[in-house]
This record gives sequence, structure tokens and C-alpha cells, in this order.
Amino acid sequence: MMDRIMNALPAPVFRVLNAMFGTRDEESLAQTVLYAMIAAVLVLIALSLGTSFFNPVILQSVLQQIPEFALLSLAMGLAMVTGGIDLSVIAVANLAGIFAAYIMTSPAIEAALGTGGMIALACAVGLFVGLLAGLFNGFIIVKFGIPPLLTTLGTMMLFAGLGTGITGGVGITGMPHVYVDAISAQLAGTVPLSFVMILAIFLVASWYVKHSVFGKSLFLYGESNVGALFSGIRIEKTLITSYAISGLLAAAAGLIMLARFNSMKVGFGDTFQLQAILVAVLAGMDPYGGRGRLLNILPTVILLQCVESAFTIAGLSPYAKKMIWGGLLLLFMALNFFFHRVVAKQQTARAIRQQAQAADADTTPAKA
Amino acid sequence: MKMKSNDMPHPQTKSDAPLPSGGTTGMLKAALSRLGQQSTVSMLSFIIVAYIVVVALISPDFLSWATAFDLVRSGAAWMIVALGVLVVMISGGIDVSFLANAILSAYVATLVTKLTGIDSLSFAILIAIAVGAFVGTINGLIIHLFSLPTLITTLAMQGVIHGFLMVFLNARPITAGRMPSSLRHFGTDTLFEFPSGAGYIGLSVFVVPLIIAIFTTWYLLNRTAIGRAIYAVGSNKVAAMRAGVNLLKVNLVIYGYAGALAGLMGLMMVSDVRLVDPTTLIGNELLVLAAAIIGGAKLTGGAGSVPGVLLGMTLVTLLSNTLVTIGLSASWSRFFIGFALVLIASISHYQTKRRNLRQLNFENV
Amino acid sequence: MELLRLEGLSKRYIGTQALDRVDLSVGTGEVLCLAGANGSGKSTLMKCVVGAETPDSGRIIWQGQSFSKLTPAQSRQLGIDIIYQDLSIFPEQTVAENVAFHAVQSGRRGWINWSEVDRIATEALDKIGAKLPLHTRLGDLPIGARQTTAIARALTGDCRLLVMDEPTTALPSRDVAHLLDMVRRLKADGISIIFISHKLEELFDIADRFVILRDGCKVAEHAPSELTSKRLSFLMTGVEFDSSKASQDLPKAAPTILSVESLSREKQYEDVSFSLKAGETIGFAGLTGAGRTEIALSLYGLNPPDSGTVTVAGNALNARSPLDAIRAGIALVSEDRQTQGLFPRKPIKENISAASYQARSGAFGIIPPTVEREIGDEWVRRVRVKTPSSDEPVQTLSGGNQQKVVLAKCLATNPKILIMDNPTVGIDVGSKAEIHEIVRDLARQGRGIIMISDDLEELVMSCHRVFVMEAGKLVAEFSGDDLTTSALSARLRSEG
Repeated sequence: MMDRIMNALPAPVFRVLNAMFGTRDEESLAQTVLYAMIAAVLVLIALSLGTSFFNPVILQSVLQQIPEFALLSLAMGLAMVTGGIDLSVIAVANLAGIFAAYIMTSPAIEAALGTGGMIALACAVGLFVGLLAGLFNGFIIVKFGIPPLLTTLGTMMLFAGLGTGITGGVGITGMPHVYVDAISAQLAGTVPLSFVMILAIFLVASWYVKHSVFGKSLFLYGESNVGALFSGIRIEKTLITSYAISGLLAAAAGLIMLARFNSMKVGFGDTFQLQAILVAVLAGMDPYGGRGRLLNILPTVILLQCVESAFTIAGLSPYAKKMIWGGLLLLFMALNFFFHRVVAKQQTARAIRQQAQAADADTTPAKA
Repeated sequence: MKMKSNDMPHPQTKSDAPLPSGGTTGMLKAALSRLGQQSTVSMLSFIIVAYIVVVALISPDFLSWATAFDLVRSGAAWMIVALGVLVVMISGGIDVSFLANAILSAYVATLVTKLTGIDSLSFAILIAIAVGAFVGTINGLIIHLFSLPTLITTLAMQGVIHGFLMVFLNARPITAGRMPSSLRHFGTDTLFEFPSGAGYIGLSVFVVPLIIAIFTTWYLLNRTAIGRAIYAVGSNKVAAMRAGVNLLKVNLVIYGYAGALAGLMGLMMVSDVRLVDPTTLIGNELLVLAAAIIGGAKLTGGAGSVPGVLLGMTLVTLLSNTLVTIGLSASWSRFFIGFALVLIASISHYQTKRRNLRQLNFENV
Repeated sequence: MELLRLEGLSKRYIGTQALDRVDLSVGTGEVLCLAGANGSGKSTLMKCVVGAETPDSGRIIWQGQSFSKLTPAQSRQLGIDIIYQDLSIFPEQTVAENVAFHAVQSGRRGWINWSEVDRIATEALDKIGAKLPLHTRLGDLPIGARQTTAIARALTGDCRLLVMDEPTTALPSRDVAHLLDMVRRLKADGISIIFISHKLEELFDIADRFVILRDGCKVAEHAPSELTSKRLSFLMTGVEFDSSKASQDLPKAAPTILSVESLSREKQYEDVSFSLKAGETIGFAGLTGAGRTEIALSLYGLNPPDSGTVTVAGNALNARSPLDAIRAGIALVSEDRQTQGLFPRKPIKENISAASYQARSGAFGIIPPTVEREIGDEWVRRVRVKTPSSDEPVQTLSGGNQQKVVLAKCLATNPKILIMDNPTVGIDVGSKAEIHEIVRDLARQGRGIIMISDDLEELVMSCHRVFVMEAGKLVAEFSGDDLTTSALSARLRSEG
């Protein structure tokens, strides 16, 4: 039905779209729309809130609040590159946080290793738990051929259930002060240290994905799993690695959440589930796989956090946010649908042009 | 065995069983493929009976009419909503918006009953079902128009529905005292009672909507053309479109029906707990999905049955409610449900993957 | 009496003009053979007729009633039905339900009587003299049973025109004879039939008329009496077949680079042995399902054999994955270009580099930034892909150029042995000739080539030796002066 509407669009509309986006693929189109939207939202916030939003304190707090959100979104984005999804990220974050919290609240370990050693051990164990959880996801997906959606749905319950079982559903509180304070450390007194670290992780991750066998394999698998298989790509290794990295990122997010709340239990950060998917889609990751730029996830996270802070300043209910996020997600996926059509039309036009040119140039046909 | 490419025996028969690789992996593979040949219903029945026996051995009080009636009362609403999820999953889709839909429907139904002063149960049920079906239809329409991934769409819809309820309807909890009396009775009425021990035990009226929902869903899926079209779409969407199945109609029916059942479930839940709290329920969607999958519904569509999903939900209900009886903390219930889910999915998908690879079909690598 | 007329149907997919102003007419009770090489637009044309595709322009006229497009339900109501090449069945459902599916869906009552379903299924299966277990899940039955089911389903309605898309490809010859009998019976009942095929010798005695498509255009229309198979093949391909072999003599001292010893895989192929010398091209002829593709996939690490040995350049090879095969110097141009060969939305350079990343990466798997462009540009030039830049998405290319990209991807890994499975299916004559030229060049460079093809002329033209496969076994070998298309086709026809 939408096809009909698309086909009914008059040619001038397409020409305008072409001129606006002047693009050869969905990826750039999505990116253009994303940056246009960021600009529009910032202008809107500036007009409605002015300096009550654009002041150092608020801006700093925006950056301060994004680390765990950014890491979870990156984990989700990574899964989406392969055409999968990772529903277990929050559960992994919780589980890793719970393990770390147990270690950090144990006087015996503190006595043996000192506070610093204890925190280091807790973080290492937390990350290790995340890694194991991720490997488990990847292993199940690859070896049994269960779709990632179903696998992570199951392991999400498994991990969350494990966390609830161990803790009895009660929060663990009372982390060391050093650890809790670390989250609010500033670089040169202005930029939060945590944000700098996140920025570094994103730059490294997106560079590596662009320039490594692993990254190429990831995107090619997402574009066509059978094509990747026939091209000699190490599918099993790539997928397991990718889910292991998702697990690590989720665990890191869990450690940050532990510092922020000075407490951990299953259920913390549940709202990130929808938001991480929203961010990945807004940032142009194709839920069917193979498309998108990981680096775009960071500005998208910042955008969402800005909107969230603006909402808080404007005194909107948290449920209004939930509704707007949901609505935005629907809107963007619908837009993606149109992007595909626009790009296909453009490519058809270009193919006709090029083949006509080639036919003209090729006056001496090949002999059989 | 002689080669005859056109007369292969069924790929599932024992000719596939001897496996070249040895060791534990080989044994695991063999065990998995043997397990995969059992029908879901018989396998689940076995597991459930075994579980009940274990629980009864540890705690003999467990085997009583009181326990059974209690399980029916607490499980009925969930079974109804699981039937809706089953219909969606047979078509190859997934729905996580149904609990938001349920609570919205229940809230609207309670509100309308109060505002109009029509304190009638059937009126409230009618409204809840209508609201649920309407919201579900919107789901179906969006998914169809933009051919979107169903999980992400319904996840977004969950946010929109819940947000709408809290922001636009400005929902506040409605306590028992302010609930219409018909709803309060609905939650406590029984079909029949008999004396037992200190007091009376009875079978909740929830059994009636449950039986109606079971019959309707079974009839829809097995006795109507549209029901078979739903299976066809899940089995091979392209073939279904080529066969002239109207996808829009199928999508609207699927999500509308799931929504209607969600509305009914919502009303039962609020009658049961005698409180309309707009913030409850949400977050338990996965339990229902797990039940449907444990009951043999495939994420890829085309498979799943009413008895399967009822048994799946029974197992989930048992695991959620009876762990304490065998001396485990109730907080472990999700762990076991998740474990069952991963295990059962592994068995069925491993079977498919092996069969496909054998037929040189590489689509699920 | 004219039943159906098509006027100027056109359809385009991004890089491919699938149909270019095609006219066609079918009379009542007529058997029309729609001939053409793979990819010539036959299937697309028929999909437009049955409403599975929407034509970009043109008219469909059914008994004087004119349509710009049809929906599947509409076309079935008019009395048009089709048996798709991929059969289009429901694997999760039972045989009975599959057969009766249309009857159930178009029934005026919204509910189902299952005994009625069984009755319809039995009746339809009886009509074609087939017996199948009604209540078995169709996905569990072999391909032959699935095809029977699809045929039976098409006959449940009030069918006036039946389209059969390549129904003989996967059938052994005794089943083909049975199928043709069925066609005759349907014709006698006054049902019109459009029979799509690219192997037409078997159809000369049942067809009333041949229509030939090439590259999306209708190029000719003839009565069978006006056609010879040589003439037909000229019309389909556009080139006069030159029976002189283009391949050159092998140097005597050419080393053996591949030897396969009694390779077997249950239910696929049995005790297959052959060897391949450097600079040699060997071919495999046979039906789909005879085991040719299965062996190719085994050599490429995707279909582990049960027993037997493979030796590549003196070393035993036990390839468990395509990467193992690529490392040993084996590359595969697979049959299914769209899903197995290409990443349609990715740029040409990434497609060409796809199999070479592993070999060209350094520490930590990092690929030097210029590698993709180097490989892409070099191979675009060497296999002469017609494109302004290697940054273009591969889906904007025509079929022939897409196939050159697949070939380039394989060659970029510098293989010693190149396996090609129907390498020129569905591509234009010019590209086909260019690909054959490239293959000859490769052989001259001392590479070994294994060519699987349904196109016997292609095999005779390119190969030093050709094996015929039947039901999983190598049953004949032709070489030297014995290697002619007539000899091959005679051997293939004598099967079964």
C-alpha cells in the first residue's frame, strides 16, 4: 500500500529529496536526517529554555549522565549491525554490577587487598562476568542457530533470574567512597572524566570496526549471512566475539551504574532497554543488519540526554518521556522505510543513465 | 544406503541419527536430535507431571484442590493473554505491548463503568475488549504499512500506550473501595464451593472467560480460513502473498485479536487484585513470551498450538508459584523459566539448523 | 480463441531491465512454450500475469477485459494459476492443507471442514495420479513430493490457464515424462498452458507455439515445425554456436593440482573420483540434484563428505569451512548469485574484497586503509566491470556485470582451482562471452577450472573433459573429439 503512495509521489518531490540529500545510500541519508534533527532539537531547546538549559552546570550534568546509556546503546548497536538484537544487556549490566558490589562490600577482601585492590578486583570480576555472559549468548546463537532475539530473550531471564536468585531481589549498597566519587571526577575541572573515557571507547571502537577484518565481517554478515559464508568469512568467530564485546560493554555500564546509585539490584536501568534500541535506530543502524555507523550513536545519546534534561527542567512527567521515545522510534522506522524507497529510486535512475552511457561508449561489442 | 535423490526418506527418521563425530559433543548432538523428535506437547506434559511429582514428594500438602484452584485463579488471566501472543507468534511476529494494552483497557473500562454508572460486568468486559482490540489494530496497521520489525514496533507501542495512559488520561490508582462492585465480585466469585479444612474452597469464575478464550482461539486457528492464513503467513510469507492472502487483513486480525484478549486479561487482573494500578503488570511480558515459546511457538512463525501454549503457561505458572514449596526462594523462578526457554529453543532450532544444512540450505548460519 | 493477451509489459529492478515492452498472446487450450535463457525475464513476465509482481507499464488483457495490473486473488478468480519454480509451498503445514489451501482461502464460508480439506486434496492428487501421505508436514517430504503437492494445488480451482515455471529442472526423466503426460491431459480438458523452460528438446512434441525471450525482450515467435534446436539456441542466446573448441591442448607435463578419490556423502553422491591438471578445464553435466553442486560445496568446505580424500597440490585437504578452502587455493563462483555471491547494497570494491580481507590483514586483524580500493580498482579493470567507480553499490549493475564482480571476488584470492557453478546463468550475451574469455585466460595461466553447467555448449566450448553425473555418480566422461553437444545431450537423455 505504501508502495502505491510512494509511486504516486510526483517526480519533482523526488528531485527535491535528491537535491536535499544528494546521496548514494541509506547510510548517508539517515546520517543527514540525524544531524538535521540534532540541530533542530538544539534550536528548539535554546528557544524554549535559553540559558536555563545552555549553562555550564546543566551541560556538564548532561555529559555526566550519559556513560552507561552510551555503553548500553553501543552494545545494542553492535548487535544490530549483524541483524540481531541484544535484549540481555540490562540483565548483564545488573549481574556484573551485583558481582562487583558483593566484592566491594566484603570487609575480608578489603582487609586482604586494600581498598584499591578490592575495587580493581571487583571491576575485573564484573567485566569477566559480562564477558562470560556475552560468550554464552554468542555460543548459543552460533551453535544452535537460535535467532538472537530469542536467545537474548531467554538469557535475559536467565541472567536477571540469576541476579535475583543470588541477591534474593534485595539491593546491595554501601560501595567505597573512592569508587562512588570516581564517577564525578572532572578533567581539567570542566569535562567529566567518564565522558572522555566514553569518547575514547567510541573512537577506538568505530575506527577498529571500520578498519579490521572483524568489523568488515560484522557488516558483511549483517548485509547477507549466506553471502558472508560463501566469501570465507569466519562467521562463528565474528558473532561470538561481537556478543562477547556486547557483554563487556554491558558489564562496564553495570559498573558505572553501581558507582552512580551506590547500590545494585536487578531492575536498575530497565528504562535503558527501550532507549538503547531507540538510540541505535535513530543513529541509523538498520535493524535488519549491515548498515549504520557506530560513531553516530554517541551524538544520538547526547541528544536524547539533552531532551531528557530539558524535560526535567520543564517539569514533564517521566511517562511523557516514555511516550515520546516510543513515538520517535515508530516515526524513525517509518522514515527508514521511505529512505529505502528513495534510495532505490535514485539508484534505478542512475543505473539507467550509466547503462545507456555504457551502451553508447561500447560501439564494438565483445565477440563470442 | 543407496542413493536415490528423489526418494529420500523423511529427514527426521533414524537414518540421520548415527553421527560421525565422537566424544561428548557427539553424544550431546545425538541426544539433542533425539529430543527434538518428541512432540512439544508430550514432552511438556512429561516435564510438568514430573515436576508436580517432585513437589508433591517434598511437600505432600501440595496435592490438594485448594492448590489446584488457586493455580487456576492466578494463572487464568495469564493463559488468556498467552493465547493472544500465540496467535501473533504463529504469524511470525512478536508482541511486547500487550500488558501496556491490558492495563490501559482495564483502566478505561473501570473509568467508563464508574462515570456512566453502568455497574455491569458484561459492559466493563465489552469496553475492555473493545479498547484492547482497537489498540491492537493500530499495532497491526503500523506493522503492515511500513513493514517494520514487530518486536521494535510493539516495544515502541508499549511506551506510547503506557505514556498515553499516564499523561493524557492522567491515570491514578483506583483502590478497591472506589472500584465498581461488579468488578470486585468478578475477582472473588466462584462457580462452586465446598468445605475444606478450616473454610471453603471454590473454583474461581475466571475459568469461564478462560474456557471461552481457549475455545475461540482454537476455533480461530483451526477452523477458519483466516486462521489457516495466519499459519501460512508464518510458514512462508512470500508464498502466502502469492496465494492471494490479504496481509493487511491478517495483520489486523492477529494484532486486533491479541489486543482483545489483552483487554480481557487486564480486566481480570484488576478484579483479581482489586486495585487498578496503572504502573503494574508492565515488565512481565517476557514471562508470557517464554510460555508461548516453551509451548512450541516458533519465533520464525508457522508453528504453535493452543494445547502447547496452555502447557507452557502452566509450567511458567508452576515455576513462578511453587518454588517456595520445594524450599527454593521465589526469586529463582525467572532463572528456571529462562533456563527452560533456552533449553527448549536450543532443541528445536538445533534440529532445524541441522536439517537445513543437510539440505544445503544455509539461511540460518 | 484468444484467452490472454499481454501488451507492452515492462518491469525494471534497480540495475536490471527485466522486461522490455513484451507482447504475448495465448489461445484457449493452447500449450505455449516460453523459452529463454535463465534471467531472460520469463519468470518475471509470468509473475506479472499472476499478480505476484506489478508491471511498470503495459496492459494485461484477459478475454477482452483489460488490466494494468492484477493481484494474486484477482488472477486466480479469473482462472489463472501458477506452479512456481520455488514451488511456493508451506513447509510447516500438512500435505492436505497445502493442496487445499486455495480452496480453503477462496471458499465463501469463513470456516473449515477438515474432512472436506482431505477430500479436496485426495481428489486433486488423484487427478494427477499421485499418492502422498496427507497428514505429514510437507517440509519433511522430499522435493519431488513437494512439487507434486504444488501441482495438485494449482488444479484445485477452476483453472483456465496454468503457468508452469521450470517444472522439469529438478525431475529425473521418468518423472518428466509423467509431467508431460499430465500437460497433454490438461490440454485435452481445454486448459491453456504456458510452459517455461530453458531446456526445450523435450517440449517439441507437446508445444503448439514457442515464444522466445532474450534479455527481457521478445525476440521471436514460432511453431515447433519451424524450429530446430540449433535455431532455438541461437534465438535464446543471440550467438551462432561455434562448435570449434576454444580450449587449447594441455602441455604434457602439466602437474595434477587436484585429485578427488572416492568421495561420498550419504544421499548426495557416491564414490566420486576425478583429477584436475594445472591449466585444465573440466566440466560436469547432469540434472539439478544429481550431485554436482553438492560436490562443489564439499570441495569448498560447506558440505563435509562422509568419506574419501581430496588432495590439492600434493597436500591432503579436509576443508571444514570456505576459509580453509580459500587458503588451500580453491574458490567458488556459486550458482545463486543474489544470495550466495553478492552483498547487493555494498559498494563494488567491498564485494570484490570480501573474500580477501583475511589474507590482506596485518596485526590485530587490521586492514590497511588502501587495500579495498586497490583490490576493487584493479579487478574492475581486469574483468572489465562497466561502472563509473568501484564505489557504486553492486545492485546498480546489470546481471552480467554483477557476475563479473562475483568472479573478481574469487580471483582476488588468487586461487589455484576455480569452481564455477553455472557461471553464465541469466546474463547477457556480451558478458557471457567476456566471462568465457576470462576463464580461458585463467586456464592459460595454469589454473585448474571446474565448470558445472546446464548449458552444454558452454561446457563443450570451455572444457577439455566433461563428466556426466547421474543420481550421485559419475556415469560418463567425454573428451577430445567425442566431446560434442549432441553426444552429451544424448547421454543425458538416456538417463533414468
